[in-house]
Amino acid sequence: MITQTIKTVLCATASLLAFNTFATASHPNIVVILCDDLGYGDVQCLNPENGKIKTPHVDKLAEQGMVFTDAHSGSSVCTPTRYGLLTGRYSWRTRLQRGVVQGFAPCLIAPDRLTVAGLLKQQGYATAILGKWHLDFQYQDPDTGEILPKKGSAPVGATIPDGPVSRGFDFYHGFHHAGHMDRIIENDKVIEILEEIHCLPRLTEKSVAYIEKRAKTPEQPFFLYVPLGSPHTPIVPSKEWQGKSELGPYGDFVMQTDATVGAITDALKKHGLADNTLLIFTSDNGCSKQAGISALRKQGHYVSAQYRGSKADSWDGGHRVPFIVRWPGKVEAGSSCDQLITLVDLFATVSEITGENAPDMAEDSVSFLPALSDLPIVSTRKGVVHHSISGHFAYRQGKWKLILARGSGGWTSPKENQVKADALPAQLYDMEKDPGEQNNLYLSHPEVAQRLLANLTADIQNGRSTDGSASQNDVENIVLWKSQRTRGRR
Amino acid sequence: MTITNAVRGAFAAMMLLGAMITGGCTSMTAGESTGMAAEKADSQPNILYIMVDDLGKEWVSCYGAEDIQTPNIDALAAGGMKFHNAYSMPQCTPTRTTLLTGKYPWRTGYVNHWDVPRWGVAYFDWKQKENTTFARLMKDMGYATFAAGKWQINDFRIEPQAMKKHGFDDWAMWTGYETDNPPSDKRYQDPYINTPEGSKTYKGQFGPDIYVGRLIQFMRTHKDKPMCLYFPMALTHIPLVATPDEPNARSPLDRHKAMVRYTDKLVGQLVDALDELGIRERTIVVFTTDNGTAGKITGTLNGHKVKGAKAQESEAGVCAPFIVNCPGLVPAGVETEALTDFTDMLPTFVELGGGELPEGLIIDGTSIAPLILGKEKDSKRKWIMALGFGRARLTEDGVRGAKVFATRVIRDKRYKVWVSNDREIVRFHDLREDPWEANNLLSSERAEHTKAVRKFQKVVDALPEKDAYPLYEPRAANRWDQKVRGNKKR
Repeated sequence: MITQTIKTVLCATASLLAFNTFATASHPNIVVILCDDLGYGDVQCLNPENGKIKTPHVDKLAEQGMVFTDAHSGSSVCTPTRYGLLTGRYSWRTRLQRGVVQGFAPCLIAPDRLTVAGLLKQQGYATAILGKWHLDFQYQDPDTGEILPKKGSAPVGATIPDGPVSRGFDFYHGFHHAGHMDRIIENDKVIEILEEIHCLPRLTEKSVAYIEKRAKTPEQPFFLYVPLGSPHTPIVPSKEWQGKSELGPYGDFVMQTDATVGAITDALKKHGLADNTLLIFTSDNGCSKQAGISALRKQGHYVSAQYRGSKADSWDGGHRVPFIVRWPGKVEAGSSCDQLITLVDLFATVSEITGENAPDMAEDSVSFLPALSDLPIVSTRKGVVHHSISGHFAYRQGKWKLILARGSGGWTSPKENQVKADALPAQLYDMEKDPGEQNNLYLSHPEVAQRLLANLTADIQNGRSTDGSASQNDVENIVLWKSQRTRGRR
Repeated sequence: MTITNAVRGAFAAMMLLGAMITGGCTSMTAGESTGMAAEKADSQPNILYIMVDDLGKEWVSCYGAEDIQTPNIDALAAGGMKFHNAYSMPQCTPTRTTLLTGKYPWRTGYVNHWDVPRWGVAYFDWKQKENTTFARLMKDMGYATFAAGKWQINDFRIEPQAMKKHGFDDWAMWTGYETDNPPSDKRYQDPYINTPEGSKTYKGQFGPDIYVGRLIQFMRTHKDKPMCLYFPMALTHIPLVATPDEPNARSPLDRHKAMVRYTDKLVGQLVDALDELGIRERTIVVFTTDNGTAGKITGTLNGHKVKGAKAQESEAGVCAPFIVNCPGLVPAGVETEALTDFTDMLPTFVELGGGELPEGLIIDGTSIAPLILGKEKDSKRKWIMALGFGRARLTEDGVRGAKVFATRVIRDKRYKVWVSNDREIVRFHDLREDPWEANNLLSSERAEHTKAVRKFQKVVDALPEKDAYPLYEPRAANRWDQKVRGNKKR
């Protein structure tokens, strides 16, 4: 029998061997960089043949860490992806059944719902968000305290009662979403109006400063969430980046975004934090039409690499995202993983790393920690749900993908109102043989389609997609088939 | 400990079963070994076993690889014996444990990959006599023993002298990726290497140069004694890196090619060292690989595109390049269809060294020494077998095979069968007509086909119904040990 004493002695010895700073293997610093509308094919190393934008810093991360080749955002658009990432729950379980939010409304994350930041705060982490929130909050008039109406604009000095600092973050510097990018908020107050072109440099500077500050108190681990506003519109590369990519402003802006990643990794290295920091680089959805996708394609650059569609769509170009993890001592350099994960899984993963079982409330989150050690992910979740801008559902299980839409379900042609009259009510693809989603097997494999549909339906109705205590959706009627013409035809 | 007893009990049952089938098939009994019995040192040839990590025949030009030139390896083949039908196992751990013990994975319990320094818990336990390595036997026969490259079946943090306990006088091994110890992830640039003095980083150096350098240094010091030199090299496994000769290699394929060319160069360096030390004529050099190439790399073999088949039981995954060379001892310019697999190495080494297998040591292989010394025209093997890939399972009782009975392939010079987890033959191929295993002839009624299937069925019937468990004495927990994932986990 192994005595507790021996265990303790061994553990103590082992920890002496490993690190000389305070963040530990069970409580590493965690940095999540979430790009905005960066396509899978926009990262050079993920798209070596048809990617023309140079992304040396992200490529370097891939060389130092693990590339996930089958990672998906919880949605094909901004708001719901962010909701899923922070809560471990699909956003379509909330009031938001399609599209995104616009601010000047109560926060989409309920006050009593734990976020990744809240969880880590409970674990003793310092927590910060630098960038785009896009999950709604309200502005109060600085003088009267009244809630400002949606049509107005928030003046400097306006306060925010239900923003990030009320949802688990100690520190916030950023803005609500692209349309309000010029209103810079710190913690719970609008502090200045900033030209949009200065936003990315500002977030870079703030990220570096935050890391520098945290390095002074290494006894406390930190969680830094950097939801950049780039390369989303407004596409505003700084002067020194203009023309750099030779592909137009979007390419320039991607390169500048890559440089921000470099600045963050440099700061970690400079302060000796690289070794005990879990760093995740990803994007909230595919590249947007606003980037000028066809013009880029003419120049040989494919924003979604070999995948079909782009931002907003049910096709993989909408939601298969770059996902790179660097964690020295845990994740093998230069490795890759083809297991299916979603950004909703961050919650359970972080819970497991820090020694907690994911609280029941992260209803859709599965830990991908084993995948970081090259081991299979163990899960009671049968498949992963995708959700397009118009609320069309899709379901992925193993190699099969079922889309409950006749077209893209988003912005790419054919849209739902552009499909031919005889288009099938749904699409079924074998993603192993047909990653480009060209060959619809819905008619030839009805049993597969039925199985996936049953699992998707159960995942929606049960209020959760993992085992755990009963949970309910926030709304009663979640419409499974969004295209009117197809309803009832299954 | 109940665990120990359970494991021992299971293993004892396996040994009985094993004894029954080896009696009927292919074991080499002590009486069969040559009678030289450790006479004089000068009659004992040196053995240099070079094993590349993750490389199939489609990357060795003397086998017909068209996308690379490997002149030094080709020279070994031209001046020695080139095997066409030599089986490794499909993946790292099964290959290594098989090679070291002369037993199939179903007998050692290593029927899957288990990365010990990364996942902990289990380890290749020298205290179990069933894990007796060829190195221990050769050492007992008066050989100086050395190993360099990759081991990965012990954690040198816990047991820095594991190599010594397994029978090596001296060594220079990359430690494997030790979870929680970031510097250990490097096997190439700035490698982290364990030697009798302990583990450390060799800053600014290229690992492959160190492994070869130490090997040559050992040969220089011990050239007057018989030497058993085990060189399971780090190349050409991922991460794909540029080499000192081709520092500008960027793309994955260019880097892979650079790594193969570096491998070939190192083989040349070793042969030159043997010449320089005047021991070439009494050193039997074996060149082989541990399994096929990584799946992302495709090469051309005799006009046929071959996708890397590591961890697969196809011929590209397990039928390894295998070349034996020793001017004066091994006939030159011979190509052979003789059957051999990695269980044959331990008895071959023992016979070459003039020794006998210890009484009671059960192995599965048969010496091919008479064949490689030109005394016989064929090996004694009637069939060869390969199995063992994927990741093992961790249970409350310890590390277990992913399945009760692992899939496996068995072949003779012409035919091959695939055996399922249900212990049934599910595929049958005529490799002469169908070298890429496209046509399953299991339903063929041709007499020669049914006869061949019956022959293989007898081999299958003699196999134990359950694979063994890895045999190790449980040890105190370490914090990097993988946790058992029960139903609680989502």
